[in-house]
Amino acid sequence: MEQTTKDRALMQALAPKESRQLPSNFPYLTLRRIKEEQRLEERRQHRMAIVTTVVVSLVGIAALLYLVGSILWQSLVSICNQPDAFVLVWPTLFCLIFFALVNHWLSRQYRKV
Amino acid sequence: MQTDEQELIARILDGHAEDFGYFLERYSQEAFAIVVRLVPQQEDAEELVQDAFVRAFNRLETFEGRSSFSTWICRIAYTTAVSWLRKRRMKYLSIDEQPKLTDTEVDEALDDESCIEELRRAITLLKPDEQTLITLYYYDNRPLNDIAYILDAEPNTLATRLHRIRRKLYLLMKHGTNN
Repeated sequence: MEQTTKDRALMQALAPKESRQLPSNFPYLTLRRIKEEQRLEERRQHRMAIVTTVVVSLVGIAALLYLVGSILWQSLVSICNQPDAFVLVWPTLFCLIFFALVNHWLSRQYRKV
Repeated sequence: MQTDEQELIARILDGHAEDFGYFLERYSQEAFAIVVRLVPQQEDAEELVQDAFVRAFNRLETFEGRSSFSTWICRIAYTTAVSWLRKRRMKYLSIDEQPKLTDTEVDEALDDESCIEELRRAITLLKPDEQTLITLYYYDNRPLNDIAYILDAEPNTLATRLHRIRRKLYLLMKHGTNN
C-alpha cells in the first residue's frame, strides 16, 4: 500500500479544511485543573483518614470496655474512694490545656508558611 | 523516549506537577488533531483533550516508555474520544456486504482529485476507528506499529483493515448517500 505517488485525492480529503488549534492558554487551564483535582483528592484522603481513625478508635474503646470494662470500673471506684485521689487532677488539666493551646498556635504558624 | 522526558516524568511523579506543562505544551496539539477529527465541535474536542491529559497525569506511573510519550498520549486521547462518542451513541455507517471490486477501481477513485468532496463526505461516514486509522496512516504518515498501539490493535491486521476501508470508501463515494 504505497502512499507516495497514489491516493492523492484521499490525502487531500483527509487534510483538515481549516486549521484547528487549541487556545494558547490550554496548558495553563489543564495544569490548573490537574492541581485542583489533586487538591480535592488530598482533601478526600484526609477526610478518609479522619473517619478511619475515629472508627478504629471507637471500635478499640468498645472492645476494651467489653473485655475489661468491669475491672476498669471497679478500679476507678476504688481510686475515687481514696482521700488524695484528685491531687493530680488540676495540674494535669492545666498541662493539657496549655499543650493544646501551644499545639493550636504551632499549627497556625505552620499553615502560614 | 528522550532522556530528559524520562527525567521530567520522574520529577512529576516526585511531586513537581508543574513540570507536566512541558508535555502539555509539546503534545496537546497532536492529541487535539486526533480528537477533533472524531469530535468536530471545538469545545467538546478541547474538553476531551483536557480529560485525556488529566487521565495521563493520573496514570503517569503506568507509562513504561515502551512507546514514545506522543504515541501514548494519542492513544489515551483516542480512547477518551471514542468512549465519549459511544456514550452519545453516535451512529456510523456499516457496510457488511462487499461487492466484487477490483483494486484498480478503488485505487483510481482514491487518486482522482475531482472526487475530493465525495471522499470527504465518505470519510465522515466511517467509524471512528476507521477514520483515525486512515488519517494516521495516509495523512500523518505514522508507522503501523505506532498506529497499532494507539488503536490497541495488532499491526498485522491493520493492513487488511486499511484495504477494507479503501473499498468501503469507494462504495460510500458511489452509493453512500443512498445507504
